[in-house]
Amino acid sequence: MPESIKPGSDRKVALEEILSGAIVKLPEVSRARIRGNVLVSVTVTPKPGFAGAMFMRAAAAFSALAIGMGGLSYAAASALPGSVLYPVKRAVEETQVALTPGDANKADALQEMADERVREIHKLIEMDASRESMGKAVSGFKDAAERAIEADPEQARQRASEIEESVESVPDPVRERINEQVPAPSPEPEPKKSEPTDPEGSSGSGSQSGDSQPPAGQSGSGSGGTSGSSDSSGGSGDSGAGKP
Amino acid sequence: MTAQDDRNVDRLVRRATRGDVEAFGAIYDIHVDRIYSFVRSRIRDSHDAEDITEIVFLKAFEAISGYDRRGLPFSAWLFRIARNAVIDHTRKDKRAPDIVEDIEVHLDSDPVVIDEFVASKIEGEDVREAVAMLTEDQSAVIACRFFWDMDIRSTARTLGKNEGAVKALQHRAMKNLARMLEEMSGDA
Repeated sequence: MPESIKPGSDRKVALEEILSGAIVKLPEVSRARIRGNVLVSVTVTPKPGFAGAMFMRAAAAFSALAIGMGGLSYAAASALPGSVLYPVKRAVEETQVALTPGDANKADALQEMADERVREIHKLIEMDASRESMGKAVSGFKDAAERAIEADPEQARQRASEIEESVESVPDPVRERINEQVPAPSPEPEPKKSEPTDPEGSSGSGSQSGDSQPPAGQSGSGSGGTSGSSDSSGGSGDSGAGKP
Repeated sequence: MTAQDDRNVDRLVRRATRGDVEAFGAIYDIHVDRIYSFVRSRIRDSHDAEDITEIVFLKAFEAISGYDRRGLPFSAWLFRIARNAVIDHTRKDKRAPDIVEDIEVHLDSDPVVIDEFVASKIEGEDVREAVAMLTEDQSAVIACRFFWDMDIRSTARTLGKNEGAVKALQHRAMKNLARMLEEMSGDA
């Protein structure tokens, strides 16, 4: 805003714009420190109900590897086909898949890999990259998509349709080229698992009966500091955040 | 976030619910700025805000195996953990900000605006300070709507309120903020 603006100006600014611009980002150093603290802490504290000790050891080993590779794997994360770090990125992805336990989890990791290839394709189109680089991303996409569908036959149709959806964002003619590579959904019928519907539907009533509740810590429903607020129109009041 | 981002988060959450630490790391990367923004809007000390941000993610990992995606959307679930952590902290903290006296406002649909001159005088820190002086309910609505980009319906679900209440809270909060920012610009 220029300094020359004088009081009493007729021009107005929407407060919404100012609020959206007031988001503060965590400083990079703090972000990395907290990330390290959290991941180390959750890695060395196995939780009951999670996969067994073998997985925890593998996860710990992978975390140590990721922390050890630090800057390299972080820098490689944004590499594109044709860049020197791209093979590192692909190797890290394959390691993650290999260390992921269970078919469904592995398929999730592979589907993420396919999505990452689509993101790369978008960037390559923007950069007007070479046909060779684009070819690498497209064939990488095909490989990841096929493996994701094969890894979890129960969800094959769902995954194929999600993969197709992500390809729709790619402009022609590259999309045509990718579509030729998208694996066909499995002809098997859907598993007869009934999927419960969202208990809240579209009521928007604020009822919390169907919500999975986060850990409440010590917070009650009173929302500290709000007892004096005049939100009588609140209807349900603060029935959510503080409840265990 | 786009629909593809949402699907990506869903998959990461599915993996994290099974104890996949790497997937949880990716969830951290996606959400940490929004969590910190909300925490910082209530907690003046940046070191305390960072500690609370860390606690939020530790609590989230502890609880994620019980997360059911058919209930709250994940971002709403995470916001609630952050909100509870902030409430816990402010209850223990004697340096908590004074809450601004609420003003009587008539609910209308016009957006709340401030003078361009006032806008030119205030900085991000002033805005965060003003948000910190709102009631807890009002600041939670502001955080959901403008820091987390939630629509009214998602905000209502996240905060356990009806949509009318959220609109009313937002309007009051905006009026209070406009008044506070005008006062701050006069002091500058």
